[in-house]
Amino acid sequence: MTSSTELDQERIQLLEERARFVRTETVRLIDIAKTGHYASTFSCAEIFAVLYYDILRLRRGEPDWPQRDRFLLGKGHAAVGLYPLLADWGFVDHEVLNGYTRLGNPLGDHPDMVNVPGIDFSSGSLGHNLSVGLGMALGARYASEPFDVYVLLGDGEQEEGQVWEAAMAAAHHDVRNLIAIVDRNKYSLDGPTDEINQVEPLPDKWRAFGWNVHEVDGHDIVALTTLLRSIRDGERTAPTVVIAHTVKGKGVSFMEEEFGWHLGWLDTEDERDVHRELEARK
Amino acid sequence: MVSAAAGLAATGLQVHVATFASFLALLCAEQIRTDTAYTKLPVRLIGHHTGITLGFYGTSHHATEDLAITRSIANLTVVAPADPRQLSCMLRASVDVPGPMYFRIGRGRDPEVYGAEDLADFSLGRAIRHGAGEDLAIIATGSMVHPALAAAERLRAEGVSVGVVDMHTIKPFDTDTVVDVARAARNVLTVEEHNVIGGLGSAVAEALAEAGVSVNFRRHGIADQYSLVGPPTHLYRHYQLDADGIAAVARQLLG
Repeated sequence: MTSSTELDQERIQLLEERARFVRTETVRLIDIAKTGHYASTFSCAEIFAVLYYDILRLRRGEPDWPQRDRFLLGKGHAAVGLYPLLADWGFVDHEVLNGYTRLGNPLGDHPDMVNVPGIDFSSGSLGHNLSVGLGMALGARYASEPFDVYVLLGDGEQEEGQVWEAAMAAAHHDVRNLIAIVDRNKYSLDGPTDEINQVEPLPDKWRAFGWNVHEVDGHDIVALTTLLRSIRDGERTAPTVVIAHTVKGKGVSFMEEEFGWHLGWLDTEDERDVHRELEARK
Repeated sequence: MVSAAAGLAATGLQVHVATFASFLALLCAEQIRTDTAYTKLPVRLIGHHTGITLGFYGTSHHATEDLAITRSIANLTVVAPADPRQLSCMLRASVDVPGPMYFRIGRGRDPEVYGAEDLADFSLGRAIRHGAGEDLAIIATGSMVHPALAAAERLRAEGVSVGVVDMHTIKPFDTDTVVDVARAARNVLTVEEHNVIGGLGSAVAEALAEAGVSVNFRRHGIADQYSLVGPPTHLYRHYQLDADGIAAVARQLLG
């Protein structure tokens, strides 16, 4: 945890490097599985990096520390990018990563709290985790614990009715320690969200449900970090949502805004090109 | 989605709804029951990627409870095709089914069990017999029919007298066929890509108990647990739901 005044060049470089690490590890792990959600993970790589290396209050090697901030990955299909960070925090053995999705390995395409230390709640069926986060945030209140609960939602996930039931209830119960982040990458499995089932106007909807609403470029490390710090450290008057405008497949030119890459697999030559492109962004 | 389909059906249309079985039969169980089944509306619920076909996508994407759930919903016809041709037969037959139907299908990579002429007299609710067995009757449904037939071939080569029943319709249940093959065989083995509780095995056990048939009996499937993650073929091998595994379980049953 770092205070709002210390966002220096060194920190920015660290966060950029961690986002790149999310992407390169995602490519490596999906090559083991031979299929996976590259593009959905690339759109939230900076969000993962900023949360895990600047915002969340965590203790290395202590995934069950009771006062830790909780992080729930509502869009569970991006778990492949989260596992390397859990290993980096000492929650999961690095060796386990190498068996990603193989028979009996705890790391599947979607996160599993029963088998993976550091996963605060399972997901995979979209729409559940904001309600779970609401329950955790209320639990913090009842136990007088200081932790915050962050829930990363997909924008396709906004089509789930349960999201809006949770949104309504969280505002009603004035749950200020609940922070939702929407990865607004504009695509779901079936195509552009605007064509499949219009989710806009998202900021107005969340506002109407009683939430404090912020919008940010989800790939701008400085803007994202500054905003999340201000939310974490500032006075809150309601549950908070950050709509992070992102690019599906961000970082790999042929995947960007190509919804066919929601689920896929790179062959050896393409994988080499992807690594080259990710390295060139340093 | 299911309630909207019920609304469409209420205007006189036959409506088809398709999504992953875990999100259809489990997530929408109450909408299926109250909006389509109680109301007897012609909604066709197509649950794909049933069982553990989604391998390493994990528990959220597995559906090993859908037969138990749908089987207990009154007015709902429940079918589990063994291959694409049988699914076509079922879809054609569904035109004459006045109420709702649940289709339990795989992931679209299922091997063919039937040739073009094999299903000429296909009828919903009437199980298909593949040979008769005095030592063993294997009763399988859906994705397990293909490996069960392959397992039977292996057992026959070892001198075992074995027949296989394709129980493609789980509801209404073909009790007559089940009782008939169980009376003729010394052992009955049910095989399903489903929890052993509440699905095909339970339906067969109920039928046999009520008919007073006493037979050496085993339910084979996922043993009331959540599946590991892993590639599907590895999982089938691990849970003995491939031909080799089914044959091995059958040999244990035969003693």
